[in-house]
Amino acid sequence: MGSRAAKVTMEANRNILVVDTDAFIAYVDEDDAHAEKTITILEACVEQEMILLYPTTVIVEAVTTLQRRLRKPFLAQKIVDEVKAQQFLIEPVTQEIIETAATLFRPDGSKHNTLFDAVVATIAKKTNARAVFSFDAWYKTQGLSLASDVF
Amino acid sequence: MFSNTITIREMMRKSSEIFEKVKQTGQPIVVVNRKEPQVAIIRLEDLKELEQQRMKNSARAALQFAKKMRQLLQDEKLPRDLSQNHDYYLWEAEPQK
Repeated sequence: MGSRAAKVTMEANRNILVVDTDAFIAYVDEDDAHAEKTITILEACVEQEMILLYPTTVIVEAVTTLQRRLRKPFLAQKIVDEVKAQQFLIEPVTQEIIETAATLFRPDGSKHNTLFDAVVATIAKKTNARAVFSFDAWYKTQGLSLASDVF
Repeated sequence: MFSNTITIREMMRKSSEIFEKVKQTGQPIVVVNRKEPQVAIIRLEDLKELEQQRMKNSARAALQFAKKMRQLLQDEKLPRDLSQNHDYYLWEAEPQK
């Protein structure tokens, strides 16, 4: 199956947000430092009918992080089940995406900006997304906006 | 449950006729196997419409997911900086200052 984002027009793409792992984690934990802002952004997204795309790697990274920290690891399965039930718009991470992401990836720089982040940035650029739904300022260095600055 | 249904056997035998009927009438047809609905045949324009609706609904789906998950995880004690320092918690790298 082709890229979901490729099916919408360039103009419509300005309604796209690419969701990163930190925002996804803040979705699920109401005590997270970004929890409140995350809900505010989601409510604004509902109002403006924004399209939220999830790179495959974001789902995997977020669920694995949560699985490691949950006292009841079976809850990780519940999260996966709910992701399936809600039919999130999951964007495939293809070889082309990885190749482009590799050009953004600087492992000799910060340890905190990983190939996962580079994949998110690549998909955001490829889809001409309005912003990345993340609180990581690194995306700004890539010429991208953060959802927290837009909403 | 579904008004227009056909069996897999009928589907195999009369596929061209069935596709034409769906295209002409716009009515979806549900394919059943042992009385259980399996898939539906719908017009391409209806599929596009569904895809558009799903896209437009994606933020609402995320909000519903967030609310449901927060309820489910309310007894868990996750680190307050888990979203910000997820690399650390996943890979045990140095936390961000």
